[in-house]
Amino acid sequence: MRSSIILTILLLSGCGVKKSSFVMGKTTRSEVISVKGEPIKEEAIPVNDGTILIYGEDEKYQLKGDIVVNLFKNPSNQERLLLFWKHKFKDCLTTIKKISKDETSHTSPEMEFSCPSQGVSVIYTEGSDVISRVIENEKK
Amino acid sequence: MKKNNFFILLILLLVGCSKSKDYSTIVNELKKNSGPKEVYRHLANIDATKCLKDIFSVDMVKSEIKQLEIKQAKGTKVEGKWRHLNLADLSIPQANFLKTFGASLGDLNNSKAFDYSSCNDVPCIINKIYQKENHIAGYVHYLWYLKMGSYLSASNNVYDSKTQTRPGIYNGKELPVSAYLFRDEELYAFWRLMLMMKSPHTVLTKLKEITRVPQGESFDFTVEKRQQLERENLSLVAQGKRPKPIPLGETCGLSYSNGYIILQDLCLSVGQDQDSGSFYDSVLHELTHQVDFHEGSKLNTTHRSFKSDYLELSGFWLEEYKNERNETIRQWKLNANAKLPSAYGGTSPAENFAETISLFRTKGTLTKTKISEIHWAFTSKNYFADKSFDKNTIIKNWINTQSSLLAQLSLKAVSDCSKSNVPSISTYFRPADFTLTTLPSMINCLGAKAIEISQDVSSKIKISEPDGCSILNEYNMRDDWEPALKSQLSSFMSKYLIELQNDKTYFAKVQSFYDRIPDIGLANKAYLECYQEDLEEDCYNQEVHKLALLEVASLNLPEVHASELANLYLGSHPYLNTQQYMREIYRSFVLSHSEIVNQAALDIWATCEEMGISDELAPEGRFFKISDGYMVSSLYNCINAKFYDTVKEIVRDLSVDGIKVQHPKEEMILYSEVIPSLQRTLLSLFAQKMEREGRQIQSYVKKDEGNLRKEILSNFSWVKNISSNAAIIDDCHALAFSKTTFPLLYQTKAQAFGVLVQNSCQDVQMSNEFNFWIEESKSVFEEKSLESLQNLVLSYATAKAKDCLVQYPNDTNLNRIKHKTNRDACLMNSWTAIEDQAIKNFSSDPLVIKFKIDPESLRVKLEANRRKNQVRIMKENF
Repeated sequence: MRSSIILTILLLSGCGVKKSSFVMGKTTRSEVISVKGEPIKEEAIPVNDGTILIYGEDEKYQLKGDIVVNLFKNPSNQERLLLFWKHKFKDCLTTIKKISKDETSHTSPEMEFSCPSQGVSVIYTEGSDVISRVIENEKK
Repeated sequence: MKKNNFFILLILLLVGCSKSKDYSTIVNELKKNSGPKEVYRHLANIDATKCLKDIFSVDMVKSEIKQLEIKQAKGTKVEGKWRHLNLADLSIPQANFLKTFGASLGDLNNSKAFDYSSCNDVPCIINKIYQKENHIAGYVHYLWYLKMGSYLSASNNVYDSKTQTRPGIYNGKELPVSAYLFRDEELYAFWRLMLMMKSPHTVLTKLKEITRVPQGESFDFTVEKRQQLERENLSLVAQGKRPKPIPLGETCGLSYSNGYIILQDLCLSVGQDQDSGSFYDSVLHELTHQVDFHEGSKLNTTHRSFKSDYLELSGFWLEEYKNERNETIRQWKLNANAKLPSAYGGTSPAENFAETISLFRTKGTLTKTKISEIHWAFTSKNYFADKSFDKNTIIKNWINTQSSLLAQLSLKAVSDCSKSNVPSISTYFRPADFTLTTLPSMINCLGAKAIEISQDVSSKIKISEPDGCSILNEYNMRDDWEPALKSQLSSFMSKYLIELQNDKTYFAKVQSFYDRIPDIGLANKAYLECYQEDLEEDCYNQEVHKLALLEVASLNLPEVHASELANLYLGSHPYLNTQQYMREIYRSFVLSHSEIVNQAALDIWATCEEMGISDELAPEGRFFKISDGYMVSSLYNCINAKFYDTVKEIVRDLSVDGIKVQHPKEEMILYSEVIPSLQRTLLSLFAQKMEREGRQIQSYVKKDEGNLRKEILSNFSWVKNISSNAAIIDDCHALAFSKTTFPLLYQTKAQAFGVLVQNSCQDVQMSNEFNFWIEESKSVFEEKSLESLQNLVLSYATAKAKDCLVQYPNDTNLNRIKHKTNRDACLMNSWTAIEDQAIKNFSSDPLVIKFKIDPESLRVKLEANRRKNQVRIMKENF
């Protein structure tokens, strides 16, 4: 069973599927490591029982205990365009939230555009068309 | 600066691979119309006490405007009207200014507040807003547009203000338009800043507007926050608690990624000598944020400063995670050993970038000591063309750039002294300063001339260089300027003394070449030949040298001398100056043909709209982007698909006096100017179209008059989930959105109809119609209740299963077998508690209470399904 999951994951990642084949809220640390290898770095975060596994290309897996709960990654190709996500989330009850920022900053705030039912949100700077980060989380 | 490979590739594709021959060039055609050249030898007797601020006058700025307007004189006339003015009667850039920003001038609350009827030009119109005749303001605002391409606001509107319920009101106060305008010293500072800035700050194609918070006011969000804290403190004091401290800090400026900058008094503060004060580094800081956005966008990221190379050299890294409340946290952290340009530069890479670049330019000597060497070199190379602005380097650079003038003045001094019998006394030079044995009378004469040269050249620098007066004070003149200048002058004079001995006609020969040095023709030719070649700067230097040698060939000078003269020409037209000059020329040439770009944008849009609207395909393309807006994909994709050919057509249509673009390199440069111009025009068209659609939507919503709600209440087959009020409202929203049939091109349904849908569904579960329906369908509700309750049990059980896995993992074959019994027991033993919790939560739902549904009856039904549910959870999780 386990090896078939890993095989599927490998096949999917080989085919250039954009969304990670890990299931947020289900995939375990060992499953990530068996697919991606040992992380470059592991960091503690100020969340109870939380850690971050850091891989190349700034890919970060947030764990709660042993379970992967969030994945932060850079957008690829067309995912860099905010309009792409506006279309992708067209039929979704989306939310747009300002990410808390330093109030002394001189620049536009970062925004998080989320589609909870797809378990994906993206980060962009207000007024800009470029996505800086894609976050996968548990589907709601 | 980093080149954008994508655009270079695009331009190469557009141009093809033809090799340049002796084509006639646009730049030569434009030069025929340009004004008189500066003649170096005739230095007026400049008052050495005068500084830049002393020559800042209406006449001075007017003459700058005239020079810039000439460059655009041969463009395409602009059609249309602005109030009483026919745009075709105005100069092309003035007409373009009014066409672009005419609706954003003056009192935006009252279009009749100012009488512009006596005005025939832009400066006069702006001066009407300032309520002053022939004032400097009108000229500085217009000069800013000519040089920067953006709008230095002259209106009572503040972008993105939360308290500006209408133009003119700020922080709850009705303020006169004059409060929103710039003070005289601020206008001087903007003018001086224009002299300080070079590319990339001067080529910010996405910068739209610089506006100010009204004089004497703080940013409204700061005031609001302070007031909120004061209110909270009153309540704390009333409760006998200690009040919270109220922050005294002010935000002095904001820079938006969509091209707006807002400045407050603090950022606009100018010192008494007008060349100091926080204005320069603060405004440059905000403009540098625009550079960050601009370059980031070219690299497909939000900020240039977020790229890994900059993070590494500035010492930043990002901590990101989701906290317990599922909020995304993204906090910049700084390495302990990071060297910062200022404390504020330690808050984020974007602020570090802006602080470093602005302070590099305005406080060069100090900043050099603060940031790392590698950071310094990066900033100098990428943003200041390898220059730096510490005192010693500035003086050295001035002497270098004045070298052809110094050579000419030295030549004249040697010539004059060789003929003069008038004795002079000077201790400026000593015999050892010259390579040739020189008579004391000659040394004295040359020394006296050198003092005059030093005086003349330093006076010239003081009124032409933005840092002139701040650097060339008495102390620096003696310690830094004079020794450097003396060395340069004695070198030139020694050479001419030797030549004088060898060839009596040398002066006359050389003088004729010197007269041609100010002519930039050779430099332009070399620049075009070398544009986009490998090692472009080296190629340019060699080409200029080669062309200058051809020019001096007729003088029959020895090879070494000819080469020296060629180098002198190159010294007067260094690569970076020529690059800047050429960029400005082509940029204003394209600006002068804005009407062609406008028409092309309208055509492309109309063609794409006619092709039918569909949202089936994903949006693709990166030539034309719409900021954070929305657009139906067929239109977006079509505009992007046609962008490439439209740029080609525009360049094909550009001409000067009927002469079209022929030189392939010139064509390449023009593509690089037309691309952002078309992007900007399309974006402004998008804003207009979106606004128009917004008005149509408003009218659609207004006409609804409750019809949508009536439709919703007429039939409740849309209700899918009655487990909670929120679920009913969600179902209602989905139905309401599907019922809005307006064909949207420029906004999502949520944007357009969000409010209508919310209002139509508000408290729908409390309506008489809904209650009637629910009474009728109680039996159906009970069935749906069981389904909802069962889902609740399954979600709780899944969470428990994850906990059990942490305790009894199944990550290896051994663990899977070893912990199986405990893992299963962990879940099973909690099952009754899980069902109890689900029933408890479910029982508090208003609908369950309303229908008096017996939870115990549901428990019986749950128990019947228990084993099936348990097996499902174990299968899914274990």
